[in-house]
Amino acid sequence: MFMTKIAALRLAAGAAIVWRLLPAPAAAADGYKVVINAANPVTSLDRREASAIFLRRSTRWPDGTTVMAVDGPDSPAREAFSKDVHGKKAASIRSHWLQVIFSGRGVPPPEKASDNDVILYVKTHPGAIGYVASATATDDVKVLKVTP
Amino acid sequence: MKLIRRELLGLFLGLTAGTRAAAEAPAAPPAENERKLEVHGFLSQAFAISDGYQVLGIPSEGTFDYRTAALQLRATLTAKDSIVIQVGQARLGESPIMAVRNEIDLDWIFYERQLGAGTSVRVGRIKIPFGIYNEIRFVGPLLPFFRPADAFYGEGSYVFSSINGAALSKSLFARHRFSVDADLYAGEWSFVQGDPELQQIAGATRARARGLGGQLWLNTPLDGLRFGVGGDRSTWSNSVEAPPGVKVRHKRWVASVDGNFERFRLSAELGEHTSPGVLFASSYVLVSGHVTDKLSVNLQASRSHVKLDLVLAQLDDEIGRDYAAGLSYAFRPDLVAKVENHWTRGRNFEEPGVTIFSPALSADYVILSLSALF
Repeated sequence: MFMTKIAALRLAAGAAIVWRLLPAPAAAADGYKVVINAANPVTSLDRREASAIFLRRSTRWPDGTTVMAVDGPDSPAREAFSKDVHGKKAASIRSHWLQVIFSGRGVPPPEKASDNDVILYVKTHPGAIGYVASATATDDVKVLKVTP
Repeated sequence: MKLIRRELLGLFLGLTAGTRAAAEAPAAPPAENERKLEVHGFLSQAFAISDGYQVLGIPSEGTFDYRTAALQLRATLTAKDSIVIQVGQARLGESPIMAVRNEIDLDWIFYERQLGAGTSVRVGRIKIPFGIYNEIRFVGPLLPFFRPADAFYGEGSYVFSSINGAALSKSLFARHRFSVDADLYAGEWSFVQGDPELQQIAGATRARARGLGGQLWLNTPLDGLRFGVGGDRSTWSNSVEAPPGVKVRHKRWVASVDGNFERFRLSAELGEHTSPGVLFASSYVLVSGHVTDKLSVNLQASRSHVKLDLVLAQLDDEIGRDYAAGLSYAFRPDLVAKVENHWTRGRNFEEPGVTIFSPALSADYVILSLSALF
């Protein structure tokens, strides 16, 4: 009986560790909007395309315009965007960029201080793409649909 | 040698043509939101102590002279080209290599040109894109332990981390489920070599290698999982393994699997380095579990093996074996404290000086470190 209790404790401890190491459930996809310049003919992107653009692995729109991605400020919207589009926490994406920087391979997209700054930038640059909180007014830009 | 020269010439012509084609387009100034000059840096300061024999510069009385640090400047000249320079310091305690290592070294300096469609070329002194960790081998906050597995990546002598030459990088199928990152590099590198009899570094010479190689990564639909293969071949001159004036052909290859997930990381690499009559094989497995957002448990096993089939020496034996366990605590992604214990056995000890023909020794060593970057 004593051995059984120890075995049960070990099993419980093992299960707890495995539980901690399992991937966390994906966050809901709401909370942010991906925005592009109003003149950009693109209407939707799938998740991988969007991720490639913000990781600067894809640098041109279909019409040849240079992609100018811009990150938003630290916010729940950024966390939701990161989880939904990159499949990782915002902190993991930051670690990715640190690796890129210190291997000398590039720098992350510029980071804007507020959602309004993101909107202003996207509005004034034809190749720009960014993301903002769902509640942000997006009258002057186009909201892009991101598909799974 | 003729073959290598021909390939180097081909690569050079290819790079020149690519750069010229890219240069035909007018160079736009940096976008208004691009930073023209970026400054980055990192520091890992450690205390390390061995319970017996000295290994990796770690004496039994301990040392605080154990550090890696660098300062990096990136100047964006136009939207397509930039210049990057990084100077660094690597202190290795009581290691004999400190007698021949500069206080400050130029890690890299290169000109980079974006050629469009995920293609870029770098010319100058460049970190060799070899395996998972070579390009970030000293960047403490990005590493589970103080250093990548030394049995695989080396430490001190016979370390080939940077190349003077050129590298062409290309990302393929970036918007697809599977994507590929490819690097091709060519040029020359030099390294400190030890005395083959005594494995003593002090007073040893620098050897020079000239060659070319590549690294290929396949990124899978499972976010964070990638597979890599790479390798290079080179011709060494001024090498202690051959009489003066005689050049020796070397080859290396590496196979990697790297799974970097939300809650854990699993990395494993296997490689071989061959030259006439010599086969050096090494491998490691690393598992890192993120118990909380800040605390990680890290485990690593590594080994290296040599097979000599020379006129004067025959050997087929293990050079080193290391088991490591550690904890790392990330106060923030850019500030990490680590404690790690290594159980190491083999013929890679500095005190007492051993040769690869000596009986294997063993020791435990501990490294406490704090790493920061900006």
